[in-house]
Parts: sequence; structure tokens; C-alpha cells
Amino acid sequence: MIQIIEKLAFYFEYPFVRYAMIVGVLIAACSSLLGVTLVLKRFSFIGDGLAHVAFGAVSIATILNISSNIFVTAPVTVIAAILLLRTGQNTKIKGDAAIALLSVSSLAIGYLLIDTFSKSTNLAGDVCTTLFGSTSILTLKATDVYVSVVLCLVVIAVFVFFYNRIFAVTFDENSATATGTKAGHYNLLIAVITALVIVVAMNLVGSLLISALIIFPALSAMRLFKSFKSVIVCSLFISIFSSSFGILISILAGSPVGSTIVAVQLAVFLLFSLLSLVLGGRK
Amino acid sequence: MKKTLILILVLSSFSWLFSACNDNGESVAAKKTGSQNSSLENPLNPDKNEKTTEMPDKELKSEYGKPEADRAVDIDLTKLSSTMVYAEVNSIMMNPEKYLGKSIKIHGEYYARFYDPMQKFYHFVIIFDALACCEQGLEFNMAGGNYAYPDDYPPDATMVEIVGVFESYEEEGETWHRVRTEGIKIL
Repeated sequence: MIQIIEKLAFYFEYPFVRYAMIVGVLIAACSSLLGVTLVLKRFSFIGDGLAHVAFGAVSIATILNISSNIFVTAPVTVIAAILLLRTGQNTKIKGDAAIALLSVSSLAIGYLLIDTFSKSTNLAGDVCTTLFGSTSILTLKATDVYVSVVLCLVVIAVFVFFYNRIFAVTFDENSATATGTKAGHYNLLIAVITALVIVVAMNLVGSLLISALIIFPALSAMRLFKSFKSVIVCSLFISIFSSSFGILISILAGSPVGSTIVAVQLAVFLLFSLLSLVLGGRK
Repeated sequence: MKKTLILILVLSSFSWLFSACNDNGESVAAKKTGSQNSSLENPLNPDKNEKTTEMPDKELKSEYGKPEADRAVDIDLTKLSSTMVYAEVNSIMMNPEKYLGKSIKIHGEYYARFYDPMQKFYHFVIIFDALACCEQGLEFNMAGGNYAYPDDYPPDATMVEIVGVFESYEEEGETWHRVRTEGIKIL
């Protein structure tokens, strides 16, 4: 045990490890806050869909040789999120079909473009690291760190300041509208926040595993807690713990970061499910 | 009659499609094989790969050149996990000026590639990430003697240890970075 602590202390002397922990914790916090809302609104798979759209945008940024692809990925993903979440009930292609359409199209076209036009000597590696995020969080550029921190703080601030309105729109949109809340505006806000969280979370777990980061903490918390506030707080702690622990295990054991974090979250979910069976749910 | 004609039409369409797929399949497979290998091609000169793949079998020595005896180094990548090694090498490549003059010890796979404009071989130690789909490489130069490729170097994909000093050098009007070492130890 002492050896492990000494090794961790040694690893924390590396600046990229400290940056990874800071950004990882912030990303975990944002995704947990967002996850509760998306799970309750039955939009759990939106994360996957938007992550694939973001992959397509990353492909375009790679081809255009843009040094920090977040400046292409963020706007494209925000537009896609608005199209998917804002359009509401009156669209011809609804919900999961719309997500699937946009998701697979972006993934296919993104890979097609990067395969055709990319000058990279390691195409498989570039695609693989974007999809699975094996070491992305440990290889962030300074710009990526600053932008990720700013975006995460913005997301957290939005949740803190608009908590009551987001709560109302999540549980009963019609009642919220009837009482004067502009549900449409808050749905748009949720869509933009979702896109921003997806864009920064890709650095932590990659495109394919983002849904886990969003869904698992919320579902784990819901095993034991029933009120909105308690679920959010529990989800926040679970997400921060899973991400931190996952990063530490991956740098100690040499495992891919994204997969390790998701594995930890799965273990926490199973533990909370077991606790739920033993203890019963609490309010 | 109408249904029979439609059935014949559909079956004829499928048989034509299968024959077209066969013709494209081989060329696509060959292209994919080429592109799979491209991850290790010389970014400087991918067309000269065949020069390094036609090496005759030779006896592997325990060391090449005069590798230094075990000594303390500033950056010992052999004591880090594979995830950390990948991240640290990435940091070295992204911020080389912070590492100039520092001694480095590294384990990885050895590869050599020929660069036609300069008419010489370049030597690399390659480190893979945890998924083994991405790699980082450090160029190294064996100094302190007149070493010739391939006699004084191990075969490609040999696991090696390099101890040396991180330096910069000028070539073709650009600044490059490499590890200057006295020798290669085979693992």
C-alpha cells in the first residue's frame, strides 16, 4: 500500500497527471449533473449520438489541420444538439430514430473523410484514441486544458443558477409552461449544455464510452435515492469518485483510461443495486 | 408469370452484385493491409519501406555499440506504467525544449527507416499505448563510433533499452530532436 502511495506521489509530479485529474474531476461533475436530467427526460442515448457527431467534427478538424479541434467540434455539436433536443414533438423523425440517423451518419462520414484526406501516418491510432480515449486526458494541450476548465465551470454555474427551472422542465414541461416558465428556452439551454459536456468529455473517455459517463452515475444514485436533489448530489459524488479512481488505476496499471473509468462506474452501479436490494430506496 | 419474372430479375441483380464485390474485395484488402502497415512507415519517406523489410536473418547480439552501465537518469521511462510512458513521451514531443540536455532511459521496440533525400537511415524506439493502437516514437542516434546499418543495429521490432541525452539538431533547415546514446541494450 505504501509503495502504491509513493508511486502515486511520484506520478503526481508530472504536470500532465495533475492537469488530467483537474479536468477529469470537472468533466465528471458536469456529466453527472447533466446525466440526471437526460435520464429523466428519456434522452439517455443522446450522449452517444452527439459523441458520434463530435467524432465527425473532429475528423474535419484533423483534415483541416486545426491545432485545437475543440473550436470546430463545439459549434458543430451544439447545432446537432439543438436540432435533436429543441425540435420537440412535432418532427417527422422522432427521438431515438433522429439520434440514430445523425449518429451513424456522422460516424460513417467522419471516418470516410479522415480515411480519404488525412495525412496522418497513424490513421488507425488517431481514430482509435478519439473513439476510446485511452490516453487523451493525459495528452491534453494547454489550450485544451484552459478551454475544458472554462466550459466545465460554465456548465456547473448554469446548473447552480437555473436549478429550479431545470427541475421543473425535467419533470413536467407542460406544467412548467403553464406557470410561465419558458420551457422552450430551457430545453435549448439543456441542449447546448449537453453538447458542451459531450465535447469536453470526449477527452476523458472517448466517443464510444461517453454514454456511460452520463448515465451510470445517475442510474446508480437512483438505486438508493428518490428525490431530485439527493439523486443529483449522490450522482455528483459517484461520478467524481469513479473518474478519479479510474484515472489513478489506469496510470498505475497501464490500462486505457476511458475503459477503466467505465469499469469503475459499472462496479459502483452493481454495488448500489445490491445495496438497494438490501436496504431499500430512501427519500 | 409476373412474379416469376420479378424473382428472376431480383436473383439476376444479386448475382451481378456478388461478382462486383469479389473484384473490389481483393483490391480493398490489399489497400487496407498497406494502410495498416502505414502506422510504422517512415513519415519522412514511406516509399522506401521495402529497403528495411528485406534484411537477411542475422544473429541477435545482447548489445550494440557501447551502452552505458546502469546509472541514474533524469527521466527513467522504464519505471512508469505503459499509460504514463505514452503520456510522457507525448509530452517530450510536444514540449521538447523543456527536456533538452536531460538524460533519458527508455524501453521500446526498435525500428529503422531510410530517408531518401538525406540518403541515410534513421533509428527509433517505439512505445505503444494501453490499447496498442497508438504509438509514440523517439528518434535516437548512436554516437561515439562509426556504426553502420544493418550490421551494427538489431532487427526491426526488437525490444531494446536506450540510455542517452535528449538533444536537438538541424537538418534541411528544420530543428529535430533525438536521444544521443552510446549503445543499445537488447531486452
